[in-house]
Amino acid sequence: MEKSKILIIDDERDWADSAKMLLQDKYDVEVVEHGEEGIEKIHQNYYDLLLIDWQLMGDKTGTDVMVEIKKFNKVIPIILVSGKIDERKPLIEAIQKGATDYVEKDTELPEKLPHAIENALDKRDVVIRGFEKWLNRFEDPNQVVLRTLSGKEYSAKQILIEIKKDSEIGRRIREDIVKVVLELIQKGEVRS
Amino acid sequence: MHAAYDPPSTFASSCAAEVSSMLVSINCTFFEIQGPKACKSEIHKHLLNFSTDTHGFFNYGHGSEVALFGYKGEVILDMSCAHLLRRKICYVISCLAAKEFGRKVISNGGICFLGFGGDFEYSPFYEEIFRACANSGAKAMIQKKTTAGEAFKIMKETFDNAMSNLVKDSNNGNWIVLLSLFRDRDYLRLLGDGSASLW
Amino acid sequence: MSQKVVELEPLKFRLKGKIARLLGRESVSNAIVALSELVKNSYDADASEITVAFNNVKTENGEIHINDDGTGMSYEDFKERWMVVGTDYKEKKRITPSGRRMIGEKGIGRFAVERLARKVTIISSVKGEKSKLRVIIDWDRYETEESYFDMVENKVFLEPKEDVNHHGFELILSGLRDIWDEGALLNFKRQMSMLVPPEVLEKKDFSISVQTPEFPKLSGEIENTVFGEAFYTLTAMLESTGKVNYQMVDKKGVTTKEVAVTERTRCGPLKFTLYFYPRGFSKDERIHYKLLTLNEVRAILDNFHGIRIYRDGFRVKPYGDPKNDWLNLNMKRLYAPKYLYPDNSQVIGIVEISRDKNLGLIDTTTREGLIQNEPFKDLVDFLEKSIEFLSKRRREDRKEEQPPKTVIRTQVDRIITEIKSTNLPLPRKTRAIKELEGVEDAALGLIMVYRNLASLGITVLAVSHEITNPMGTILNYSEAILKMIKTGNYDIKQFEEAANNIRSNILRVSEFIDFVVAYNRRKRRKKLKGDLYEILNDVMKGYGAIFKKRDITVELKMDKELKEVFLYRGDFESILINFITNSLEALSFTKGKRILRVSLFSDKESVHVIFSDNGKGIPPENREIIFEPFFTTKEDGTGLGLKIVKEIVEEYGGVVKVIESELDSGASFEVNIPKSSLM
Repeated sequence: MEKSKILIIDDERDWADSAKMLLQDKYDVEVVEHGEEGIEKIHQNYYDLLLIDWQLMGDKTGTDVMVEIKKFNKVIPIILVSGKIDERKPLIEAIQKGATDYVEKDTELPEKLPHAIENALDKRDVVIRGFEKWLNRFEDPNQVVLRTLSGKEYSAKQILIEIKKDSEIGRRIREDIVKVVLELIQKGEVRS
Repeated sequence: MHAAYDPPSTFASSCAAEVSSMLVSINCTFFEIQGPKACKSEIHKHLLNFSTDTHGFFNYGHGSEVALFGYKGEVILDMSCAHLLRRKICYVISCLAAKEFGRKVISNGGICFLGFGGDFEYSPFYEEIFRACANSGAKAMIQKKTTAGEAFKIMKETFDNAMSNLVKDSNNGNWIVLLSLFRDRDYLRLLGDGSASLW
Repeated sequence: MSQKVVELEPLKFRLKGKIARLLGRESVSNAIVALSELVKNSYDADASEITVAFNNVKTENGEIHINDDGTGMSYEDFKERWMVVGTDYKEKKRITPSGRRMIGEKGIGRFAVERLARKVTIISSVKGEKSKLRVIIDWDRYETEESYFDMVENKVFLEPKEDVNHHGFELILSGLRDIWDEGALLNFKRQMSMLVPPEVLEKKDFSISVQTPEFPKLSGEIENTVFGEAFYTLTAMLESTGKVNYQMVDKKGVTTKEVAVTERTRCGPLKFTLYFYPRGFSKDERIHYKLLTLNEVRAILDNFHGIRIYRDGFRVKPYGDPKNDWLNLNMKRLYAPKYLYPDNSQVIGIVEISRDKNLGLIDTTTREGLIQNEPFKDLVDFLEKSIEFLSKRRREDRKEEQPPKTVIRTQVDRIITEIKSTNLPLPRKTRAIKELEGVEDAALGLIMVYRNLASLGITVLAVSHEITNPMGTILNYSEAILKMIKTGNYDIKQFEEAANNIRSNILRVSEFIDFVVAYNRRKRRKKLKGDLYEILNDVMKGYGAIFKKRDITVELKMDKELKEVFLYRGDFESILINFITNSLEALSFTKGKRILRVSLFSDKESVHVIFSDNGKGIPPENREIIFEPFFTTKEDGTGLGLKIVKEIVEEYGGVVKVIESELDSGASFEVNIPKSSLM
């Protein structure tokens, strides 16, 4: 099974690199320093989780970046990271704009962060998780699992990527799965 | 008509093969145009020869909103020759054909058109299920001599049952399969006169 | 043949005539000193009127007439004293017949003459004698090779007098060796004016007049007009009983009196006269002097300011020499500018002591000042209290113009009023008030320290992630290393990377801690002065690493003049630190180039500091309220920074306000402090 991919967007290069080293045994970690760069990457690749520095300085703040990402990917979990702060309010507002969780860069971070990441990954759409688990059972994730009579075909991995990217296809798949599940629930064939 | 030249079309052909055997078993005369022969000229030739008779037209292969494809993707029927399916009951297991093409067929004299308004999806690991669903309509009309409308209903039910069974069988959920069944079922369309029947 | 010892005729020292020059010109170098000595001799001769006339002195060979109405010298006196070098006449008797203490100490009158002129005619008249004496001495004749000092003959005449009772001494100096220009004459006049006793309110028994036909404006009696120009004239008298009388007259003639008691009387009875002159640096004071112009007063003050001590009419140096601020008036002024203590450069003070009555005040062996014994300290204490009395009066007069009183001052004033209204005996009241003011001073000193610390605290808060971020990084790497060791996933290169990064982050933290600690060093907390230029540079340097990290460009524009302008380090640091802290916050959201600009310049009256950044800016509706305590737009702001700035600035009598932004956007603050509050 592949390691989950994490993208860190933080202008404190030092800290970001240290976080990468801290997490790399369990996750596949990339680091960027600017909001713009991060958004680019998310368009091009797919990630399982984002760590965004709330106090990002520069053209875009951490919250800006998060809001923008949420516009095209509603499913990806985002954890905001901040330096020590005294007042919670602005951070809470930021969280309400779509963050899954937040972590402070304090002395307990090395313990808290991995937990927060796991929680966030767990909290993802139950559908996705189920899907992910099932698709990961395929020995060769590149195996085609879906074909259409119009010439398209998809491998397990591809589907997973699309879902994680929350692309059109990914979105539709998710939505349809939800519909299916609902229907089955209605029919009493599946327990919710 | 069916032609196997790539995995999807191979699957389609396998469905077609089932239908062929059904027809054989009831001693019905039919023309099977398959493989390389499934080209425009052949199809057109045949259709023209039987233009005035009421028949069934079974197509298994690639399709788009405005066309049906034959061997190696050659366009065999499109909007301009929709009239060739005059007085035919069309059973089309292809993607998207029911959208524009199907409508054109009906407006040009086709009796009815049973097809899909979207991509027909299937999972290579579960081909039997999809074959059964895909052919359930044909089966009904051929063996049980139902109307197109009834066949349509039966097809829907077959998809439903397939989904239910799937859920019962495995506890993790074969999501892709379920998904595809779900979508295929929803894309199923019946255009034209549902009361028509093959016999 | 045996050699007999033969005694020859004894030899005497003979002196060549040129010795006159040695004793004259070459020992009395300064013409003005020489002339002053002659005047002092007249004083010592109990003259009540002395006239010094300058004729044709613009060129060489001019003439000076000194005429006094002193006792004069008889022929005998003249022969035995004036004409004899080395008499100890002066050492024996120090008091003139009329009771004056002699001030011509050197006894070099004759040589002063030699210094001044080539020829002198001395006319001496004694009361009751029918004739007057005329002696003509031609110093040129002493210059020749052959002349022996005691062989040169000087003509002597007896002349009939018009009035038998006339008495006096007249010196006619001709063939002057110097040119006496306006500067020299003014200088001479000034020297003389300091001889004239400053008893402006009492009758003078001694006057000096100067006649200068070539410079008509300078002719006239030597007067202490400068004393008459004082805005405040204080006379303080300390009696040996400990009673102190203060009397102050302001320029309008209004007199204030106060009586106090002190136990510090070891100095003996004292009289202290203090003349106070505003120098005209404050925008609000329209300074008009009566006879002199403001510039003339300033010029006089430049030469004559300070507190002088006169023992029996003659100066005890170095007290009152230019820039000799032996009472530390300037320091007091800086310490509490709103108390309106006078600057040393704007007062003329005369302390009168007497050899007889102030026995405790003893000269040091080098004759440069008095020994700083207990009596001397009592003297200082008396003077300080007197000056406080002056300052108090000034404060009372200037009530409307006072900067807002701190809470402490208001409370202290109230308590003082209470004390005064009690029935306690005066010494106890005085002591109580003194102690209270001591407490107030200590409190104000503390306030400055606390403000400084508060400012530091605020700034540390604002840049606290200079510590927390590196800490987080260090922890991450440490955890990573531990994990790698635990799981057995060794990668030497990663260990190396982690270790290096841990080290560099520790260095970062330590740099920052140095920055904070440096500001807390004891020696900075003491009330040190520093010049604006230096303090600004220091503070900016301290923040250097932080500016760099945040990509902030700093622009400093400083007037070199301000190298000489001083104020308390802690105060200016607090002001700068608070502005910087605010700018750091405001700039954190600025995209593009971040600029922090500080301009320091001065004009005639004030020093200006303009602090600008191109950050968030201040909305117009907030421009007043930002100086209120606890107003803040920051999540973790205390809201005290600008309030501290305002307090400090106002205590220096200055103003702080928001002005139109100097840069394209952002906020600009201007601080104006009147030069008179600074050094």
